[in-house]
Amino acid sequence: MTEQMNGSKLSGQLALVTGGGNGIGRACAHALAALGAEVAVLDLGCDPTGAGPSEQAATGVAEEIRAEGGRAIGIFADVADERSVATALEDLRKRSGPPQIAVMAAAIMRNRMSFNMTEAEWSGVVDVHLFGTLHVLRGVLPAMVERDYGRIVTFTSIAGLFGVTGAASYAAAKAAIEALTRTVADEYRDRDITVNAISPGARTRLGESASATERGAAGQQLAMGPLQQRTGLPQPKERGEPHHVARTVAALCLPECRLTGACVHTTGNMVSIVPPWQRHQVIAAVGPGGLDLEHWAGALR
Amino acid sequence: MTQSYIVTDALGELGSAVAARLARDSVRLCLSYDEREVQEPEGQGQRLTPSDLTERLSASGAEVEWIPGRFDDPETAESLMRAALDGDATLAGVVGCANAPATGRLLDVSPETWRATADTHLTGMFLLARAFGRAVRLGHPAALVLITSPAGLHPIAGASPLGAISAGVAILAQCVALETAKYGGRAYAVSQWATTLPSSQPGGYGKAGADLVAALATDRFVPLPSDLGPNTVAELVDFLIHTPEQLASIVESAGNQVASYRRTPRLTFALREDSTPADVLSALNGYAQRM
Repeated sequence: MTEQMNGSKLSGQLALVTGGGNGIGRACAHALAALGAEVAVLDLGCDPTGAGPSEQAATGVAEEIRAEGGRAIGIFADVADERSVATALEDLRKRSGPPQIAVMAAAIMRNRMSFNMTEAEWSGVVDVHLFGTLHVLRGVLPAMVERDYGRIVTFTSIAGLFGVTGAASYAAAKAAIEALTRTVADEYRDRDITVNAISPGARTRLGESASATERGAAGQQLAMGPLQQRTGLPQPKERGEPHHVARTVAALCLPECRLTGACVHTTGNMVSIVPPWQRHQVIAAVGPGGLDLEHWAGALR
Repeated sequence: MTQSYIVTDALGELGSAVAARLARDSVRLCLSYDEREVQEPEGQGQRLTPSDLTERLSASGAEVEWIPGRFDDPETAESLMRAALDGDATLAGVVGCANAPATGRLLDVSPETWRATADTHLTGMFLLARAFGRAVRLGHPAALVLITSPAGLHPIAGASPLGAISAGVAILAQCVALETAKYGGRAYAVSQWATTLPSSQPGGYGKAGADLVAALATDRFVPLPSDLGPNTVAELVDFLIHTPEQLASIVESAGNQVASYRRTPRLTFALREDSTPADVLSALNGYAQRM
């Protein structure tokens, strides 16, 4: 075992990492393995647009982890396909048991302004992100409930938290994931099952691919800059790398984690909690004299 | 010049209230409904028919055109827009209402229900927003209002898939506002708690419904009677469509309250390059303890 693989905080635990074949998912797989977890690296091996499935992405990362002295297997599966996920989890159960940890980093992007977006571009992104998360949640939760233990990390995005131009499908799916995460966390609050969402900022091929699309600004906004200024999120000293995000994901997978139902934005050296939407101004729509229209514009700015 | 408006699910409580609010002289109302819902009433008494509503709206001087079709069918949104832009009409507003109140705990909701809710509510809203954006770019500086549920802003146990899908709709509106602003477009998500649908009644979804009402309530919150609630939401929709500036893009109408929504990051901390996951967790657990 190498120096890197001497962690034991997660020894005896099985971690499923979707999208583990590249970018942030790959970094998460390595980080969890370094803490002693056996890692199931699930990936369809597509490029950021969803094209070109390949087993190599998942098996390659599993080989990397094993070469460093860790335990890992690669799983070639499609999170957007409920049957594919169910089959993969059943095979995993037979081989290693059900996962105690699930990290859902599978992602594609098809950036385009909403008025130019095709139905296929819309549904492709929603299927991978929202339904991909849903399929895995439904697959791993029953065993976690039975054991009264689980650590789940979903992936949302700054786009889903605040809105962005050129990526409406991605933003809508990510917003749905954030709300789903908070809802599911609330449903299992009385158990030792934590469910948190990560909003990552890191240099990845996914972010870089956005720059080459119709609306390159979307990629730049997602990475850093104007969007972060609009949202009040901190600017890191240097652009974040996947391993920075993986460090926070790994933290949320530790047995000692007490945080649940939270959204954690992490980029570079900065970490922030992003709360749910909150009322900024509240006014009485109906006053004693009827509808109070003249106050509405002021309150709703 | 004729001002045109599009309202979907116009036979529903909220859609019909919005259509009635927008009806006036020199206005064209392009309305849709899902034929499946008309054919399969859910035992809630006599359902409004297109001819009933046409009669009522025409009395206000409005021209009414019906485009029945599924909300998640691209042709429905495109047909509505063609009707709205026909002749010398100028598009003024597009209001997306969708009746998709499916809810429950995650493991109790079937994948089929999830898919149907996402198709109807989220994909349907995207198709409408896309048609809206295209019209705005053609020179119609209009407003888009997507009606959604407070379950998206106040995620609570037992409220999926409605909560997740509603959150997606809210951000979709925010994205469309950003994308169409330079062409004169405005876009809003209106989270409403005013109709008498089962989802809106305290206890209508058991604990989830009661928890949602608790989340909505402030010390000034007063639920409105069913005959006034939808009209208040319709008033807000009318106000947003006809206010020329883009206000906060996520707005709530619940009972007697109207509210704007924002979010501000909390607990920001910096890590060292050699910080470990345990260091990160220490800070996050501290936050959890304080909350």
